Amino acid sequence: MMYATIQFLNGLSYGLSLFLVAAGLSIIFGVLRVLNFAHGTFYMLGGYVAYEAVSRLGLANGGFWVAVAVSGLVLAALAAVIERLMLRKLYERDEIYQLLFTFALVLLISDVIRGLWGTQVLSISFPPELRGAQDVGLAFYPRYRLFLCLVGGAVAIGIWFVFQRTRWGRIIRAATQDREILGALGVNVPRVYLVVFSAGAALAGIGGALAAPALALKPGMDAEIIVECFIVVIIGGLGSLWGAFIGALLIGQLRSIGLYFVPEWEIVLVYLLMVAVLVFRPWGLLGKREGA
Amino acid sequence: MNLKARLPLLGMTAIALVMASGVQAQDDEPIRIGAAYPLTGPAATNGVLAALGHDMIIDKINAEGGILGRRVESFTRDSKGTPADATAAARDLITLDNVDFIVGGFTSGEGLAISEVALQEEVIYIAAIPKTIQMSEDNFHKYMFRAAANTNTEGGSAAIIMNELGVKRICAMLLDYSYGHDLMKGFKKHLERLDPEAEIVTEVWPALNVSDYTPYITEVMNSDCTGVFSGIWGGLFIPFAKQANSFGLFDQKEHFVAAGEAGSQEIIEELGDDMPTGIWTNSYEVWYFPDIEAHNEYVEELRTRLDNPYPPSWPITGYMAVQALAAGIEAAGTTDTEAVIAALEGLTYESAIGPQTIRASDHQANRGQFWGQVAESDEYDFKILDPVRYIEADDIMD
Repeated sequence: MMYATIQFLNGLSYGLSLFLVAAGLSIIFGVLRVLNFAHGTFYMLGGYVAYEAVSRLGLANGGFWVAVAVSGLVLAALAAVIERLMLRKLYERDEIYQLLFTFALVLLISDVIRGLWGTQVLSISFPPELRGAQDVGLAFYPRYRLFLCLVGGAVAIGIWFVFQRTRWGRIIRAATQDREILGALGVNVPRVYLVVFSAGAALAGIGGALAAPALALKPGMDAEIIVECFIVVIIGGLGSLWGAFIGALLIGQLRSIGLYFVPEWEIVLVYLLMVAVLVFRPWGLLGKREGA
Repeated sequence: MNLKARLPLLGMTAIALVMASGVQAQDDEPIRIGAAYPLTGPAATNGVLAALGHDMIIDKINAEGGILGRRVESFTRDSKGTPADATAAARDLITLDNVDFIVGGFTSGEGLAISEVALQEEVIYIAAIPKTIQMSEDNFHKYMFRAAANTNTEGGSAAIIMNELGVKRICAMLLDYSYGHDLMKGFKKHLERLDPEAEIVTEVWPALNVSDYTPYITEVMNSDCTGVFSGIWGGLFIPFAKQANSFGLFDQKEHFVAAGEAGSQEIIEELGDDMPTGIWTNSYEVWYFPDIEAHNEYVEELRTRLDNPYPPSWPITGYMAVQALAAGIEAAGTTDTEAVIAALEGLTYESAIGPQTIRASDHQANRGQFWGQVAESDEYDFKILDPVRYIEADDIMD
């Protein structure tokens, strides 16, 4: 029972951290209609920026939290520049140009990371206030991973609140429905795009920064996370925020609970689920059927 | 004999003279050695160090008068960590750089790829790092030699440590690709021989590219094993150890035996306090062991080159591959491929870690394993391997 609890928490914390990244990917697609291949690379860059900040500031006295904030800000600023100067010119073009562009970003940013930080595995220590384990009733569990659960949950609620209860949220929802009418109503659509792209990238950056102590920084971590994110949005439905939420939680649980019950098959389970969704519900669990 | 009749004879004499002088010129020409290491890509951190060890030994050989009195010229190409790029690098070394011999290779895939080129081009290849047993079993051919240890030796030496610790119920955590499976094969085979009662009760196989090991750590902690055998190699051990620490895995399990060179200086330093004290782990060497003249001389040179008093362990891989080759050529007295193959078979030569012997049957050097127990140090601000020892390979190469 105790170990089932721990495996459940493993899956929950992994799923919720995955959600941070997949949410940005899904929102960007919903609004801009751009499948952002570079989203995993934004995540990776966020981790390295946090590493840099922590090695300058130190971990004590809240240095880690400053580093996480810095990652979010750096990524938001970088994404704003990319959107304003480059991506914006491609909206009217064929989708393949946007794909190629974001793929070029992947190659470019990962090479810059290699140049700046090298290829060895780097790691950030846990922030001092979150070291050790916490009694969660049935078992002891690492504090930092519990914290990741809280952040993931808080971000999900935060996004929900912004989407449902604020003017900006209404505009963003409208942008996913019909951008031309929105423009005709006097909303500055290009600015909506800019903000959404930046916010999505900031989420990825924060996700990378928060993942750095729990995982590690290494070349190729962008490919790993983007594949998982694509699986999340395929399962959940491309462009659907709650789809991403459910998809991320499902993947987290399949990986950990799957290992608990069928140790030989845990990796296959995730792909089996994806194939099943693609066959029986290609628009995803919560996605909208195209043209319906 | 008239002039006309003598012409062919003159011509033949001339050709013979040119050929003789050609042979003469070739003897003064440098011996060309090609090296293929990953200099870019994810494996580059270690590949660049292996290439540094390669350059060090080439410089040393030339400073001491070369091989057979001939200077050595070295060519290095980037194998990028993939079999396809390693194949291209090996081909370019042979066809563009005209090398007589190839050394290097990093991953198991690279090793098999370069070995295949060596077979096709009939060029001797000395594997510096790849350990997969497939190279010296199913895919063996006479042009392939290995200065590195093989997976049987590494797995077998881990089994020896595990057996000495008296562990009866064992958990295994290995990476789900050829190196992990080969290592497990070697470990199992020798564990059975050493202690038929010992049992592997839980096996978990994380994928090579996973970065979250927590579900696997939890599975191992859920098992009633008292010792763990892991093959989370190189830098991958860093995230693994941190995650395992946060769950208390190293405290819960009495014994932990980590193969995959997790005891390398660079990993110990990067992990700092997170490096688990008390576990047993291996390394290609450590700068403080073995304390023999050849190794101390190597460490001094490496310290100077890297400007680091506590140098990393990877350069020795490239260094020792060339030492094997140079000894083979010296013993053959020629660079002729067949003669060098014959000379290398059964050859004992001096290396930076002491004498090594290449056995004739599968061209495998009896490269043993350095194992040590991670301990706190009063002298340094990082942990060290203490005690540390060399486990001979002779009984565990198969």
